[in-house]
Parts: sequence; C-alpha cells; structure tokens
Amino acid sequence: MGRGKASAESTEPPLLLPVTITATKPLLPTHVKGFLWVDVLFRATRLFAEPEYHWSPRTPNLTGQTIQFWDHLDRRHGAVDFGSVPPDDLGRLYVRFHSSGDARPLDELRHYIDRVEHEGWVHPATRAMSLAWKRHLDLLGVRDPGLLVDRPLTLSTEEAVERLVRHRLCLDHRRYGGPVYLDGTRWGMPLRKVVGADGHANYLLVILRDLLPRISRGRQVLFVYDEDLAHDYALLGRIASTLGARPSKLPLGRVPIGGALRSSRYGGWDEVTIGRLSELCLGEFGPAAYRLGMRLYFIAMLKRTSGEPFRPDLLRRALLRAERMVREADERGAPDPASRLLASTRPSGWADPYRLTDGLFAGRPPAASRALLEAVYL
Amino acid sequence: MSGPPRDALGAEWDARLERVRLASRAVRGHLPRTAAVAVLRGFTPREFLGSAVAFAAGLPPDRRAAWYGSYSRTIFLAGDPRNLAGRHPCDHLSDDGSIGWYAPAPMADREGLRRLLRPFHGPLGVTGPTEEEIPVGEGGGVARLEVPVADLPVEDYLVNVNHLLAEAAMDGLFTGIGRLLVRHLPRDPDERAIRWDRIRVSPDDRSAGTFRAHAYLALSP
Repeated sequence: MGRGKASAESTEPPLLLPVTITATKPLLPTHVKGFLWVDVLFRATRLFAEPEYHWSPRTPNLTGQTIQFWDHLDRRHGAVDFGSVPPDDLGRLYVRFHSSGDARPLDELRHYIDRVEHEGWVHPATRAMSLAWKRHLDLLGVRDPGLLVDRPLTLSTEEAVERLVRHRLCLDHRRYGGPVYLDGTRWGMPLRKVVGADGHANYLLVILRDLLPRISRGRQVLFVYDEDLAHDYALLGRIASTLGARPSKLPLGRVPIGGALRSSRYGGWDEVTIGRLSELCLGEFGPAAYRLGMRLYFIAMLKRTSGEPFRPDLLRRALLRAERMVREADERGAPDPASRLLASTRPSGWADPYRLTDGLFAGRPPAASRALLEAVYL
Repeated sequence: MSGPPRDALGAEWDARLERVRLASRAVRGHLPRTAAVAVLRGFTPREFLGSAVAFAAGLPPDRRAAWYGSYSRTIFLAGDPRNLAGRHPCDHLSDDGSIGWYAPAPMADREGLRRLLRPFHGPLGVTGPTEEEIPVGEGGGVARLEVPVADLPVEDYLVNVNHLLAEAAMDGLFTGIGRLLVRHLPRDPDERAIRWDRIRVSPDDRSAGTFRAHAYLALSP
C-alpha cells in the first residue's frame, strides 16, 4: 500500500494497541471499562478511518504471572476439569494463588513459555476463561479483537532486542550475565529492565515484538493502558516516535470497588464480576439497553480517571436512560449528529469515547440517531 | 602455595594505606568523600583498561588527591554514554565510545545520573584474548598487567583492576609508558615466576588476617 509514493507519510491504517489483559480472572469493572472504551473508540473511529485493532492472546499468556499461575494450577489442581468450573470460581483460584505465594521462579518454567511460543498453547483454565469473556463481550456487543485467535508474535525476542539496540533504545548486558534494559535515558527516563537474570522477557518486550514491525513513518499508533503503567507507556511512546510513528496515549484509571483501588488478584470482587452484573442488568433490561447503558456508565459516568467508585445504583440509572434513548432514537433519517460529534473528536486522528458518549448522555440536541447507536453503541 | 608470599601481600596492603593517608593529608581542610563513575554500554578489556588509565591520568591534581584519599572509589553503572551526552556529558570517553567516565565528585552530585542508570551487573566470567597489547599513552615504555581470571566475574574485574590502574596512574607510574601488555592468567601465578611493582590486594574473606592478590602490575615487560 502506497509504497511507490514519494510521500514519506504512512499510508498504513492507524493502529489501535490496547494493553492486553490476562484471562486468569473473570471480567471485572476495570476490564469492562477498558473493553468498552476501546470498543467505542474503535467503532467511532471507523466512521472516518480504517483503524487496525491489534490483539494477541500470546502477549498476556507470556507474562510471568500467567505462567506461574498455570504452573500452580497444574501442581495443586491437576485433576480439575477447568472447562466445567464456573468462571468466578476460576478467578478465586487465581486470588488464592496470589495470596499463597506459591510461585516458582520463571527460569524453572521455560517449558510453558516454549509451548506458548512454539505452539500457541493456552492452559485449559485460561482457555475456559477466554471463552467466558467472549460470551460476555458478545452480550455487550463488544467487537472481539481475537481473544481465541492464536497470533504468533511477529518478531522473536532476539530480533526485537537487535532492532532496539541498533537505534540505541536498548542496552543488552546478557553476555555478562546482566539484564536487558530499554534505554530512554536521552529523555531523562530511567533504564527499564525488560529481561532479568532469570532470562524472562517482561510484557513490554512482548508488546515491542508486535509493535516494532508495525511501525512505519508517520503511522498513527494509539496506546490504551492502565494508568498505573504510565511510566512504561511514556517510554513506549518515545520509542514509537523515535522510529517514526505518531503515537497517542489513552491511559484509563481502574474502577475502585468498595472504596479500594487495587488489582483483581487481591479478590474482593465477588459481587461485581461481569457474570453478576449481566445477570442483574439483563434481568431487568433488554439487550440494547444493556449495551448502551453499560457504555454510558463506564464511559460517560465513570470517566477516564479513577475518581468515581463503582456504584450499582448509578449503573441502573444509566440503563434506564439508555432504555429511553434506544426507544426515542431518531429514525427519520435526519442528518446524523455523528458527523458533528466526531468533528470535535478528531484532532488526534482518533474518536474520543468520552466526548462522544458524554454528548449523547447529556442529551444535547439533536438526539442520537439510530444509525450512530448501531454503528458505535449497540 | 602459588602467588606471592603472604607477607609480601601484607606489605602491599600497608603501602597502599600509606599512600591513601598521604593523599588525604594533601587535601586542605575537610576531605570530601568522592567517587568516580564509569558508565558502561559494553565491556572489553581493551576499552576498559585503556580508558581507565587515561581517565585517571587526566584528572586535575585537586580532584586526584581527594579521590585517592577516598580509596579511588568508583561506581560502575550500566548505561549508554551516547544517550547521556545531552543531559549528563561525561568527562572522559573510551576510544570506541562504549565507556564514559565521570570525574570524582561527592555522591550527592551524581544523584541524577545514578537515578537514570542501574548498577553494572556482570556475574559471568571475563572473556577475551588471553594476551593483548593496549595503547595507554605517549612514550616507548611497556608495562605489564597480569590478572588471574579463573571464575572472575566481569563486575569484580572492573573494581579490582580499576583501583590498581587508577592509583598507579595518579602516582605517575605510567609516565613514559606507551603500551600495556595485558595477560589474563588461567590461575594464580607461580610465585617464583612473578615479578611486580604493584599488586591489587584485598583482605581474604576466606581466612582472617590474610590477603588476596587480584592483579599484578609491572612497569617493564
């Protein structure tokens, strides 16, 4: 595409690269928020561009915490048929694993990594959880980025390190028994270890294995990630732009549950898994109100940051509102307000899920058209 | 037993302490505790040894005394001098640009640099030619450096050899010496065959009151 052109600018489609989540626990409000933001962003951007949404399940499956959890399951729960365990119970096994401290060093778990790298292997527990996620994302009308599709990573670890070293973006001291670091010191960013003494490559390097070969001069890349990872993504953004891309960043705050802002591995989420939420919502509302209402709540009401805790009463209010909006959506073929909404969201080249959704929710005239709801929200 | 006799090692140790004491006395007023910093993108004996000598020999006299008085303490960090040139330009760069040296200064002065970088971690053994000749300055003289490298981690090589060369350079021992003949020995040398002018010595952890030799410097080949 466009290779013969004189222009140095990329003709590659914009690349949407959300941080991947390990399918080791049920979808919780923080994850639901992430999927809904990315889904609206992707579908709204598709109204004026053709973005590529990249997701590889291998990325989360190669993280240390996933590999160590798999090993724990095989040692402690080897006889379990994971396919028949309810997802919330699988998630409890994950919480128990973290509180048990029963994690073996990663250099003893190379065989798991090799199976993921060579065969795209997925542990039955994670496969079962991914299937559960997919069922729920389908109910939510979230486009599946390929949760169950095996996609080998484009570059090997060695190739990625070599490329980075060539651009002075990486320091490789493995020949002395030392680590590999990403080197952002020219921007005043501290060295970031990506391969430790145990030889394990962390998630940043796995992301780079897919990102580096997708960068072309001027290509837009949008990183969506958990706010806690801001330092790492600041570095990724600098690396991407050094290699010619035009990066943008969308950090999302976690959703506090019961006043606590913490990772799902600590538990305390039994009442707010997607299984529980969908049961509550779909018991009272239709599928369209569920889809739109969840988006109104997780995007317009919770907003991008972590300020607001999860509140079931506000979620219900959003669904009530959504029910009415779906009923009243303009079907008369009036000019689509999408164009006006989108015009205000375009400076970065990406639709802004918050501004778009907040505009709908605030009910600023004209009312949402059926076409916009179907393209982006249902 | 191989290596030089134990009393010789003890005498080397005492001699060094005396030199450190004299250097401290040469500093007027309060002796500031200083440390040099070496930032390594990579390690080869050639670049490391050559730049260690040139760096120490090139220090201004006032910095020398305080550093010598601080036992030529040096902090080895992993980093790429090319990427630091803008924010933290070094004071001396190895010929190939892989090692940057920062003149001795109070630790607080190097906090910014140390926050950006990480300690050099090199637990694997030293590799490289067993014998090579390295240019270290002007003059026709040849000095000889012998380092027993069996099971010697790179990180320990840096520390020990640097103390030996830096202090010898500050004492002017490299005056008139143009080349350094480096030999990496597979084991501690035989005491009858060894000849030296300086030895890098440290207390032997394995046996109280005894010393270990890490590297030998002779000022003629």
